[in-house]
Amino acid sequence: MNQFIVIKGTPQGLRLQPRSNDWEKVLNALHNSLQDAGGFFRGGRVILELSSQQLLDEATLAALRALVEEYELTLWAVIGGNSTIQHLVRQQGLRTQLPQHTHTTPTPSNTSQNAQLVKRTLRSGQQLSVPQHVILMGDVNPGGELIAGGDIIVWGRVLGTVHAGATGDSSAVICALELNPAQLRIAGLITRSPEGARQRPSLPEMAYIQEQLIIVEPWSGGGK
Amino acid sequence: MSGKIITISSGKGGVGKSTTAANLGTALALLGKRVICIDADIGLRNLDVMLGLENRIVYDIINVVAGQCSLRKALVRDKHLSNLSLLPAAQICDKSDLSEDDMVRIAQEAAERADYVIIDSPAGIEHGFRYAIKPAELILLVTNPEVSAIRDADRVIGLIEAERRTPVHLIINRLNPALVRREAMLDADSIVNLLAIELIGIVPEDTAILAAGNRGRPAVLDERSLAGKSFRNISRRLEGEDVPFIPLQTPSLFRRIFGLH
Repeated sequence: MNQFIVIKGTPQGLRLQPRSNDWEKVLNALHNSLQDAGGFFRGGRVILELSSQQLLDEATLAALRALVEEYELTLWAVIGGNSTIQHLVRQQGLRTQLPQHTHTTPTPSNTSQNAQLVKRTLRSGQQLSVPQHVILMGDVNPGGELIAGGDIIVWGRVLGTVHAGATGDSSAVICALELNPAQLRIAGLITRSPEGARQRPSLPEMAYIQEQLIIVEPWSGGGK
Repeated sequence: MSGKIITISSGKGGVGKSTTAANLGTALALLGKRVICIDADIGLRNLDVMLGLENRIVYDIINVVAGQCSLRKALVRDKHLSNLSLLPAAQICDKSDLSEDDMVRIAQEAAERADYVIIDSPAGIEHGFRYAIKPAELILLVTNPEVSAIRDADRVIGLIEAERRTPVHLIINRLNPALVRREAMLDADSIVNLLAIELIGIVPEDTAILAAGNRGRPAVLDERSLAGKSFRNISRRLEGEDVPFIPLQTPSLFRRIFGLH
């Protein structure tokens, strides 16, 4: 762990806890960590958590915002800090408190009811990111990556990586005719297929979050 | 009417691109076609070795690009078949010495004087791969029945599809029917199923290929080689003939003798 900043992945988003008032060093450390992560956090939300002694001015906040956006993350909330900071944060249109019950987090508005229909196969090395729901008619091959802000429905085989609710929507689901992904992500949770080849009948399956666990079960159509 | 330009590509190295180029070139020449093979692997040439022409090289592709000699002068005629020739790669240069435009110009000039131009692409997905596929009218993608080779093939198909409309056909090389039977190797069906492109050939693993490559006499010249026969079938399919695939999943000799099925 870094001496200038602690980064924690939580179901609500990526929590940043600066350990120093030297913002230049903190931002530098954050930059390095995000670079090392190689796009792993992409599409997620960022929560900056300040201690009561921590100071933050407008320019620093703007610099932090620009930095996380460079890695395709969104600064979502700044919690803690003194009242001056809280005022500044609100002015910037950011949250100063997190919703209490994470599993009842309302679906972010940009994922509302819109879906995008895509007809193609995602081959190795290809990535598709969709801000809303996505329906893919085709396969996600090993090494391919499909990311959606909302639900993912694949009329085909999923053998690569899929990430539903990438902006933090833990109510998102992933459905596929054949669900055999290298890795499966919903909101902030990650799971992978069991080691070794799965010899399962290829029937449609649906994945969703229940009590902080990703559950996969046969999909008989409809929602959960 | 100029000839057809075909690029042999793979992504992963060592799957048999040069072997395929040498054998297909020879097989097409056996059908009476005028064939020019171009070794595009500048700095790591070996198509000349596979064809047994190493000691006949005077000029190479970089000499032609630099205008130091004509294409006709740089072509090395094959020792077995007079209608087959090779444009060798340069060994002392590297891939940055050749541009996509150079490659297109040379391939098209070669196509003026041949029925088929076979370009042997370097491994990888960098500059060398890009200039090799640029002039192609058809890309033959070679893969082995191995997860890593198939993954790279999939990546290459994606790259090609993203940029151009060139058709891509698949050759599965070094398939071992005995291993497939024991489920220790992926079978052709699952590979084609995953890659979802047209299959033009399955070449079984054959020790004759290795010996042939070392001797500089492609296996297609050997009537008894099963791999050689597979390459000859691919050349006939390129000519538009409908050739059935050789059944590779037949019971083993042992099983046939003892009546086990």
